[in-house]
Amino acid sequence: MNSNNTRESESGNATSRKRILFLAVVPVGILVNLGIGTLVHFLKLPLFVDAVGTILVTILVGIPAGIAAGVLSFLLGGLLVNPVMPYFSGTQAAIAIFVGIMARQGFFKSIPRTILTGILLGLVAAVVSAPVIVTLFGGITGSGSGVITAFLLASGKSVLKSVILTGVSCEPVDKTVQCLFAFWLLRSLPRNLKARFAAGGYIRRNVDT
Amino acid sequence: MWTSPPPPPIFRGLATLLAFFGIVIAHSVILLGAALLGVLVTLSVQGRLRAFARFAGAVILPVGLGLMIIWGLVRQGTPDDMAEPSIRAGVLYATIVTLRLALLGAVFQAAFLALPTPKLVNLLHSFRIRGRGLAVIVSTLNLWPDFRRHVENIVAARCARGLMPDRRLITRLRQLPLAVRTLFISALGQGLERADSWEASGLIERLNTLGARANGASDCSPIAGAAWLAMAALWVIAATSGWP
Repeated sequence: MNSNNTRESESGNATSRKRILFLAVVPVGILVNLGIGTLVHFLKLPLFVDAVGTILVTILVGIPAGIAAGVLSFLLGGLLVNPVMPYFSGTQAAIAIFVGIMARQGFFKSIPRTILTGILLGLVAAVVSAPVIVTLFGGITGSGSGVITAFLLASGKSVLKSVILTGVSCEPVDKTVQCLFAFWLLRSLPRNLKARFAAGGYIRRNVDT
Repeated sequence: MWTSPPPPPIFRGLATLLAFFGIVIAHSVILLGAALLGVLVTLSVQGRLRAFARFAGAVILPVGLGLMIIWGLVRQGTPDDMAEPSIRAGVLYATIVTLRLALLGAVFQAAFLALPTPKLVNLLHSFRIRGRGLAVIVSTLNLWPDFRRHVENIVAARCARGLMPDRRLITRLRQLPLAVRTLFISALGQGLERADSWEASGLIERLNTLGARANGASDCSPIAGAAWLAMAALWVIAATSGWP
């Protein structure tokens, strides 16, 4: 009887701990996703850093929390920053799933592995976001990569092919920068914060806690 | 600001979904232009026209220009019909895509941006978003203005300390990781404290109760809801019929 009660209270504590981590980290991931965009805007940098929060939340708490952070940040971004952001929510979900799979295998353990993850993540993001760019945007999103799309279209390629090829040539650089950013931020966390996340997510497989 | 009674949340959501569907399938410049004008009037009544103007300047204008160049000048045609080059067809296609994007943004802003947080809780609750998801959305919406100020303060503080002696790209790039690290670590620490206190004070249960109570509130008008739905349905019919 006593051991049953103890087990129930332990599982209750674990659920409560998971709930606290989710509640603590998902809003931070959303704010980081949106806040870095604002920071990039203030510093007037030619970057499109939009998934660092999603990558960090996935590694710290797990894939469901990463999906929640990514999708919600783009849905709320529609209300707070740019009304066309919600249409790219699917790309954020794909980023969280891919990062989760790679983090589970310890692909954020060293710089070369993180670079490889970034390159592959760029390919995934390019393929997933291409249908949205073609259907809603007619092939152009207003970023500098539009020049490459224009060149490919002028050479006679179809819109979908041009957009995918543009994404495949630009996204890996952007996503590698973001993965390296996440790699460095995770290592910069104070030891007590790292220890709090040791139970959930994939931080133990990638960072010394 | 909006003074007439708002539609019930479920009607608002359904009407918005129908409107999005109509926008994606509409192929007439006149129809899209007329719809955009209508939504702009709504935004102006809601006092949200400036927010839309910012979005149009930052997103719609560059995308529209890019589309005009690509489809009007480079490709000279539409993606479906490349048989013989036609600048007119390319420009028309670029205009339709630009109007669609502007309309998607405007409808999203008119339907959701004008909602105060309690009404948004009510709306999300009626779409079965509850518990942790609801808590995360509400907290993010409330934390965003502070967080944005925090971002501005970090940039201002780094400038004041002389850490950004010039505006060269490399100097600005160097600031980014350091500023984000400060932002992330402080936000994470505060997030954990906040989540502990929410858990202790039973915030999620209280939010669910608030959402359920708000759903029963009588300040929404079913007539307004029916009117929203009817307008959205008419819009979809017009878009599918290819009129004018």
